[in-house]
Amino acid sequence: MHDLITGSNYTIVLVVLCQIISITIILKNWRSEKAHKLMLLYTTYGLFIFTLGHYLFFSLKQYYVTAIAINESLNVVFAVIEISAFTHILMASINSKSLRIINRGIIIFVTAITPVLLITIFNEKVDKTIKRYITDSFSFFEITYIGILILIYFISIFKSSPEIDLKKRPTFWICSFSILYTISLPLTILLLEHFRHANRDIFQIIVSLHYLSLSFVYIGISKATLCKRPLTN
Amino acid sequence: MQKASYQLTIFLIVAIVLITTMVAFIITVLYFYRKKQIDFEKNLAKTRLDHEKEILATQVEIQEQTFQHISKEIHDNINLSLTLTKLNLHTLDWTQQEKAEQKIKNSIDLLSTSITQLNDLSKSLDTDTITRHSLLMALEEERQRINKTDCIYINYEVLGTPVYMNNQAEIVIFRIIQESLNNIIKHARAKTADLLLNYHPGYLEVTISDEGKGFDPSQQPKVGHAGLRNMENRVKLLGGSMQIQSETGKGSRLNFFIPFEKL
Repeated sequence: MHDLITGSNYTIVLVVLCQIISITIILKNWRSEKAHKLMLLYTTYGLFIFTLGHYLFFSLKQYYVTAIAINESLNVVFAVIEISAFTHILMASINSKSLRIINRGIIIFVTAITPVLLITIFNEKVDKTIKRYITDSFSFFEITYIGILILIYFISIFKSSPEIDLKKRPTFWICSFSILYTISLPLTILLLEHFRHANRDIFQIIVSLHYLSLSFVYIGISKATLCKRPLTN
Repeated sequence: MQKASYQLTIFLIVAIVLITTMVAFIITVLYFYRKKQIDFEKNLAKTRLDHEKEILATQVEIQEQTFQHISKEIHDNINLSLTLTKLNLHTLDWTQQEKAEQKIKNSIDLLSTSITQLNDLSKSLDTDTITRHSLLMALEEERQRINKTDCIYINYEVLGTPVYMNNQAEIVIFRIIQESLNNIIKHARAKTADLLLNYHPGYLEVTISDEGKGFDPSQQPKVGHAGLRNMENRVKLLGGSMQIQSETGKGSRLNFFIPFEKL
């Protein structure tokens, strides 16, 4: 566990800290809205992965295959929660009928494929490289889609009439602080496998940057919640 | 140890670059959005000013039309009755008592007509009923006033749940309906006309129809007869729209829609 903390240049501690702050702020400014519930679930689940998830992974390290399967499945569920939370918030701000239809299709596809992925992950007959390839592809697709939606959001705010102050809009803060994450995660997925064995230093720097970008997502959520408006605004 | 320190340095440099880029991005978006917001506010203020100017112009136009109406009524009716009365009284010959009595009786009748005409003129100009009560009551009074003249019979119906709008808007709507009914009296040669106010959720629909001689709506109005265009301008001023259906010999139908949200 200590190796993980120092190996990530202490960014894992930063992520956990940001998650705790985010959960506290969400609960303190609680609104009985779907967006708030989804963001609380996203943050709490994130905290679970970074604390108990990692603890579980290191505890089961002697059972390598099971540990990897649990880790991969936790990441898949995290990706599903992430896409649900982000698309719910973003689609409320992007006024496009066609995009709404596409989004509904993607959500149905993600929901349908998740059980298949989880079954594949726990199938001992499937090679671990294939398992990792499948889950990485899923995460890559999910984060790229969120990244595209964020890009569309930024285009849409300049197309609509600027009646509301942007600094008071929660969606703006979530999108702004998530940009780095949506760019860094696909790059991390693409580069990580290569540097895992080729260069351990670069590998750890990439992981650290990924964690840093994730902590910004939680800072964005906290800032958005402090706007004291519905998160979909 | 040195290796770890080297790794941390690289990480910190990249992290600072990325954070700076992100902050710069946020500041840029906020800057351009604020710029757009200022332009938008300027345009909004300009639109409001234009709208206020338009309202003022329409008010002046309505006032001008009212003066013309007063002038015409005084000249064509009241002046005529009073002139005849003066003529009757001036030519009184007391030596022919019977004729003189008849002339006095005629004069009294003419004076009564003048008083009624003055009364009607006063009522038609008075928007106090709208201020004190409502558009519906003012329209009912207008209907009774017109029906009493025996020139035409107005059927008046209200559907839906009435929504009370601000006084200015109700006065403008009243004037549009009044002008439309006056047009029917003056030009349509119809025996009856229908006035229907239908309160839909979100908007008011007004329909004024007659089975008179009708007209060709595509024809350009003559100079000084721009009544329909004026009515349309007033409807637009309230954020609504107007439709006219008419055919020569087949009566006419005027519809206008006023949304409540813009009032």
